[in-house]
Amino acid sequence: MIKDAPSRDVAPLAAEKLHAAFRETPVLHDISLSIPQNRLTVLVGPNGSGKSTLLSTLSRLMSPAKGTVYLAGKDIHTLPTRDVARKLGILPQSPVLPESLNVYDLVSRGRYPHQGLFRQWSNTDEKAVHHAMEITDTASFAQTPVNALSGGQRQRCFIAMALAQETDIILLDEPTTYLDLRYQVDVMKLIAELCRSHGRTIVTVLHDLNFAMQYADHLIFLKDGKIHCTIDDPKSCSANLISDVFSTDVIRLVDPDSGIPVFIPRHNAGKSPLPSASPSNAAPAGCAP
Amino acid sequence: MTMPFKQPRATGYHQIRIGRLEMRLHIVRTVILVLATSGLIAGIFWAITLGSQDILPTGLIAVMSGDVTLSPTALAILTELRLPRVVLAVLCGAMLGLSGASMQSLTRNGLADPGLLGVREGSILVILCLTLFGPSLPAISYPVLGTIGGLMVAAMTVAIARSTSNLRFVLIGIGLSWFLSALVAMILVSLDASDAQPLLLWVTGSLASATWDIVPVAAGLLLVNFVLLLGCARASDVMSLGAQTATGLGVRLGRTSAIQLLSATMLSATCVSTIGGIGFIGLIAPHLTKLVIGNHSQASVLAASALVGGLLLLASDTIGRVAFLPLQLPAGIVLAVIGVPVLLILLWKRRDEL
Amino acid sequence: MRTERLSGVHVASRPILGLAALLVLISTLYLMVGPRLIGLDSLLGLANGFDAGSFDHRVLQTIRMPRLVAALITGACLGLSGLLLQGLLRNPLGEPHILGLNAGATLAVVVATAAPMGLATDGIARPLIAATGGGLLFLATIVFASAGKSGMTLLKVTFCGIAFSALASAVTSAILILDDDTLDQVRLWMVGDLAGARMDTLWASSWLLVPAVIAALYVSSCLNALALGDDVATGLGISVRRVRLIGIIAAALFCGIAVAIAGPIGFVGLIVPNLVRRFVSDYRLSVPLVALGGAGLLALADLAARLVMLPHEIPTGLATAFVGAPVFIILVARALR
Repeated sequence: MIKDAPSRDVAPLAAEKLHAAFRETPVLHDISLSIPQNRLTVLVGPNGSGKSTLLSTLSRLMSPAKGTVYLAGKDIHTLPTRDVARKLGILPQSPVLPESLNVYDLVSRGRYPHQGLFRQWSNTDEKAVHHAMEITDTASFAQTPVNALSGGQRQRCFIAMALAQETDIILLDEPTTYLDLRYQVDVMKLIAELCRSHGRTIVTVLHDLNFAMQYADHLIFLKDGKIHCTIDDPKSCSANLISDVFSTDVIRLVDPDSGIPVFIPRHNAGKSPLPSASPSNAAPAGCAP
Repeated sequence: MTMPFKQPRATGYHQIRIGRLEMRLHIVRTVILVLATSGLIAGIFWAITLGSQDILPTGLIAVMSGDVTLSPTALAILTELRLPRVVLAVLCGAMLGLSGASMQSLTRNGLADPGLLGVREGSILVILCLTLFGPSLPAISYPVLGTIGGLMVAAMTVAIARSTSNLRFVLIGIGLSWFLSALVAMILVSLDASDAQPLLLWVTGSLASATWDIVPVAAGLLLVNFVLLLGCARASDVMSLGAQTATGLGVRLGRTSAIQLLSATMLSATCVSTIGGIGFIGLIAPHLTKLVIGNHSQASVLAASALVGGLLLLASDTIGRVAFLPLQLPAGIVLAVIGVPVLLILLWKRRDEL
Repeated sequence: MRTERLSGVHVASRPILGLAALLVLISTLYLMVGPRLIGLDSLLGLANGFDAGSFDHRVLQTIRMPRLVAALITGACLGLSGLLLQGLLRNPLGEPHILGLNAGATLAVVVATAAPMGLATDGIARPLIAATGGGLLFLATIVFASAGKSGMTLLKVTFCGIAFSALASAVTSAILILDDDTLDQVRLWMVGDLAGARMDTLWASSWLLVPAVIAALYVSSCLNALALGDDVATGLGISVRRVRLIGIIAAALFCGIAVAIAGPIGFVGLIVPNLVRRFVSDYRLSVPLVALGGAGLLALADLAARLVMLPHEIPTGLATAFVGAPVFIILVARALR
């Protein structure tokens, strides 16, 4: 069990034998996982595989039907919600935005878990907000209403709010959906930088498989509510694995600059596969250990 | 590029520290609140000079500085009739404004108002039954029991609508208020005309029978609930970002919502037990407030809604008292004539989303 | 929902005859029951000839029969008004009370009564004034509700109707408080009670019923197509604008007649059309059914209003609100998911 491990090996976020349901329908079955520290973990899988449900359960937004979620070794549902909020931040898929709220005020809301009746606003809070706006490059429109910004800018503001929360772990549910390609890249680069330069542990659900390949340090493939596979190095993903998870024939190409695989659906089912000169197609099927 | 912190000009806030309390004030909003408070106090002084009897021909200042002494009758009218009425109007208006602001924040529905949702009728029904069929109880028990009645109706509305964030919730509340109004009317019909008349006046909402003994009750409950709501204000700011984000930021949703609902209902019930069923203030005061100071901070919205509510009721009551002399129009009617057009303007502003 | 084929007259006549029989039953009950119970033999005796010596006959002739006729006609008008509004707006909450017609009609009559020029408020003028007031307020409601990109949604129409009703009621109350004379004249009528039913208005209104019913029959034949959407209806060759205009005039007329006779009574126009349309989807058949149903419902409601709190009588409008408000809640909960 994870919580029995020596403290320096305690995973920041982990789940054990998780079963979860969404409105009476069982969605997750017997999920056990451990999120690595200081890495960008991406949950991928087809629609309905339970990615968002898993994220909601990990973040304690949803209670599991069975099993436990561990935050730094402790059962997350036994911890006071404010304590959890100091360690774990969430950006839901479609956050509600009150009209005419400006960027500065939005980011300031992220300081809530650190404030109290007597410490309603202090210099620490101010510093954190400015720091968060710097990192996300949103300081230049601090007084602008958020809903007057473009989709990409808006998403960066919400990420700034999560950053102002000053948590080690950040969970993001499909942060790039509905964004133009340019802003998708923007947001993903920011998220990756948060991991590498600012030492956060990030877990995100991504709909686009190839984006996941590009940016993830750690990949968790979900299928039918179960973990199909966990991969620590995107380069070792095989076409068979992807075909299996997404139930569609794909071929594996390799990005010449980064060496990271790109998967595209096979053009005609039944046609002979590409010349198997590419060694990637011959990679072992299933999970790399 | 590092930005220096504590920049009042850039963000509009100024950090203050009083003993252990560290907080920040928004300069513009604070100034507006101070101005509004002064305006309200000035309004009080002006309103007591107006009335059906011209008892202050030389003006209030002359009386206060001792140059002119009033006759005992005039003094009595001033201190026993007008002053309590004016003070009560301000207190009740503030309570209704607070109640509306709280309800609108809780349901995230700009058209929520305890009066619209049947909560007020629930309080009216309970208090009416108590007055008619119950034993004689101390003054504080009416608001308390009225609160229970109002809470039951609120619970019913939420249970039937199963969602508090859209117009459907409001319509069901309206339906419930019609039903309860019919019940109240039936009870009134069964009474003799002499018994029914004062009660009927109370049901429609009137400050005509204001006396000093209810003022402490009203003031006390206003203060208690104001403090409660201020305590929830920061949480409520975060809750406006949605339930998921709020939970993620460590807000205790259940507890905060419960306090907001309880306060809103208690404030509304207190008003009902003192001056009867007056509507619209809870609906329009918060919106007028947000027009001026925006929706950035629930604490400001609460304080300003209280002030605007007080001003509104004071103005309506005073207009009703003096604009149609020698006849008196109940404040409730004046408010409806002002309130409905404001309501329609609100609807117009949201016409694309509804 | 069973669809009735109108080509078969025998098929259509079954529910109509059934409701008519029910109505006769209700009417008989109405005449018999009251603070003074009147036996069936007295009733039948009256049919043979009025006996001035019989107390029963006098009660029947001077009190109950006129009130029954008022109830039947008012109920039918309210029902038909509601049916037309629901069909024209495709809104199950369409009803003269909710959408502001009642309040507008009341305000118009009160203003006319209070007006220093002494506008004629008797006879046929009364329902016409009421209809005009109701129609105008309703038009304001529709104009407001159709603003914005989302157009005239169910929610907006209902809410605007309620808002305008509130405004009209407040102004009405203000006038009555300020003008004692008018208050005296309208007090009994304003509550919405058949006890204060104006019989002179009743006879005068009968002339207005003719064009109103003809308009209703014309409109109802188009409402089936209109229910499928404005575009579909236009594609089927129906002039949507003209149908709407005539329909609104007819609805306002019916409402005006009802309000002029008995004051503002709500919810009959909500309950009866919704109930009938659960079983019958053809608007042409719905018209007679709703007329009969409305008449019967209001007669029943009035009966209940007279009996439920003896020795006091509650206003008929209260009885309909008591039953109608829960129906409104159920409809909202169901229709606006």
